[in-house]
Amino acid sequence: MAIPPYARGEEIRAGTLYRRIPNFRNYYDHDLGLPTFHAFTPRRKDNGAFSAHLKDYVSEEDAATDPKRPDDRSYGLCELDIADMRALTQGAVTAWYAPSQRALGHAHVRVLGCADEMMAQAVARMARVIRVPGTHPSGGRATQGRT
Amino acid sequence: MANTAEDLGQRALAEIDKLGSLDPGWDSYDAESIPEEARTRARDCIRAVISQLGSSYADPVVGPTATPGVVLIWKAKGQGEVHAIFSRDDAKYVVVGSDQRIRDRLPIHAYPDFALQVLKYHLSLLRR
Repeated sequence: MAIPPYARGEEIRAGTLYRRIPNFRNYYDHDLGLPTFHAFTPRRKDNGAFSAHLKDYVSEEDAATDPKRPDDRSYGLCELDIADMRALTQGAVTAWYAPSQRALGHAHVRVLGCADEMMAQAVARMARVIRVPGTHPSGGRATQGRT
Repeated sequence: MANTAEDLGQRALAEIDKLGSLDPGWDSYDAESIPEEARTRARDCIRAVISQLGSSYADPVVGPTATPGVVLIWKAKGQGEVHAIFSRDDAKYVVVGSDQRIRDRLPIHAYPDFALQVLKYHLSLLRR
């Protein structure tokens, strides 16, 4: 497994990120074919940061899988271009290398700046959808409470 | 048979209740369970909206948020939408235009006021 050439805490200025999209109707607009800002709104306790993974260091299938519930094939997946994200938000949204011991932790990135819905929406509008939530070829569906 | 406002409201209330059964990590990124306080705020808002505006507003999209909380989304059929977002501590709304830009976002202080002054106002503008 290749290891990204970044130091912990280093800003990443180029490349592509993967971000899962949970299979809830408020996370993905099936009419527009885009995730909503909820898909990029962080937990309040994370101070504006959401998690993502470096595309060049994980497989699409692994990136689309919840490591704690690998049988749940309902997640969607999108790509975020780091340079575009930074430019479109005038530097407000940035990506930082944050490796961890968890699954895919070698490719883990924290994306800062999305506590503000304006920024989360800007990210949603530029996201490139790779996999629509709820449409995995296996036909796998969510196991709980999905809409 | 057409759904009544009460039926539609019950469906939204049931969906809010169902969010209480989501396990921690429901979003695959360590989101917490949806707190009862947020679900109570969302239920109170639905009841106020139905009371103030009636059946055409009784069936929003209901979903969980990672903050953690609940969101209710009223859509104006391709013309934009209003998101009411409830957390353990507060409530706010976000208006998204048909161009997918956020037009407005403010705290919600009183649900009847939100229904009349925000939801009805913005959806009528968005639907024009």
